[in-house]
Amino acid sequence: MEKIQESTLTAFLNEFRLFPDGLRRDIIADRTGLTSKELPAIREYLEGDGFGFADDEEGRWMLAGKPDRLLPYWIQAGLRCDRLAQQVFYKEEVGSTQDVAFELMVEGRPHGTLVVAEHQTGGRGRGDREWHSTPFKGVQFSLLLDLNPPDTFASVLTIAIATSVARAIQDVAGVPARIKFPNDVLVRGKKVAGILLEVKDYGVPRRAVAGVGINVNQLAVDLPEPVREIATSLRAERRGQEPIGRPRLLRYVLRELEKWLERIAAGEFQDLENAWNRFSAMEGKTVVFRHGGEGTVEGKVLDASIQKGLLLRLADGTEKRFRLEHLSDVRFT
Amino acid sequence: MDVRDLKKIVQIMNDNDLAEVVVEEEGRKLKVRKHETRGVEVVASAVPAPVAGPAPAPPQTPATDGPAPDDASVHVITAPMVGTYYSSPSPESAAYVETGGTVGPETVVCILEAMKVMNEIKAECAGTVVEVCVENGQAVDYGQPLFKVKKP
Repeated sequence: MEKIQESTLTAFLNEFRLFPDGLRRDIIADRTGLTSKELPAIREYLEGDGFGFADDEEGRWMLAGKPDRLLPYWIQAGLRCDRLAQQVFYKEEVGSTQDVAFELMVEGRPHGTLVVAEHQTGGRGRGDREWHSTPFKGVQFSLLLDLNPPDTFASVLTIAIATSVARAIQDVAGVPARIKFPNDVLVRGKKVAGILLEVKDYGVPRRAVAGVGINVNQLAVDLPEPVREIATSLRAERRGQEPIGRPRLLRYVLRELEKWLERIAAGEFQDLENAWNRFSAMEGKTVVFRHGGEGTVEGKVLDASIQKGLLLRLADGTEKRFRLEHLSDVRFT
Repeated sequence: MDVRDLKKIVQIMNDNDLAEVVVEEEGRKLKVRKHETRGVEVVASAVPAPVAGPAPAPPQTPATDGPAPDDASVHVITAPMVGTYYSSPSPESAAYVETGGTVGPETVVCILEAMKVMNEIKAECAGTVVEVCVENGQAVDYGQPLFKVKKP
């Protein structure tokens, strides 16, 4: 079949997102600038990719079925982003989306370039720890991000990404999300998502590659035995164990993240800090961490601020602030 | 600047369909931004505008053993971010650089770790390392000297 431009597919599908009750062919043509003659071929192409269409008595076309695939043109349909995911690279199977994203960075691809994969055979966690992936069940992606302004610390990106992922999980899957400082998202005490941020280039602008893995539609049995104890999926935690639309979840994360990146670029941190605090819920907890200089520190969290750090009450009753960037091996007791 | 000025700015924005306007005068900065849903937002701040990212640490008082400011032959590599300093990629491996070693602009000299982000820091200068100013595992602040490099 003749290849159809992704932007055409996106524009076509967008109409069905806007008009779920269906549209007459001439109206689709009118609204998209395509000709009525082109439309059947587009429909057929999409049917080949797993979309289903229905016809009603009045000749309207309706979108009746969507494939459970992270197809770039489908991610972009209904994506409310101006900067992120304007270029999307799709891999059915890949070693690691991070490696692909770094190659794209070297090629000079723009801020927001997205790499998605249905399956990662060598998904990385921090320190090259493995991130387990089940084909077509999770959402794994990497994003090229310019640090804007250039003196932004990558740590604030971790906060923005974690907050975006937690918000998307809560709103799309309807399960309670918690950020485990600094870079994991948990549901009911088990890990569902991990974030890996890597900065390799100190050129101008400084660029980072942000990798995110979310366990979405795995069932408990899909997770290997040792992992099951500490990790879960959104579906497994959902009442009725209904599967979740992965493209929708991904779009939601991207939309949230774009919003926070705009705020960071404008020097506005308060809303992000509030949202992050709601999801990380550190206040009032006792924390233990390693600090380069102070050694092991234990205290009760009185306040958590992106810019000012953690304010702790220490065992001797004194209060002290620690920058978030100086905390290692953080545990809450 | 008073309310009338602000009205004028909003008028200009409406006339020209602008989403955001920044006015700077007399050491003050005014940012006016239109939101589709929230109307007009005004942010006033003193110039220079606040730096994004967790605020850099207050300016470091120069280390007493630092090079004299007129010592042009020594370049100081400073921390471009807040984090924990690591001299090697992993605890088992050798340090990236040591005193007496030579570096080029692209030489990775250390890792600064912040919230599990590993940042490779490059020398961005060439010469011989004459001093390593920090210890492995030490917390460092923005702008803190890490290495002193004597130019060839």
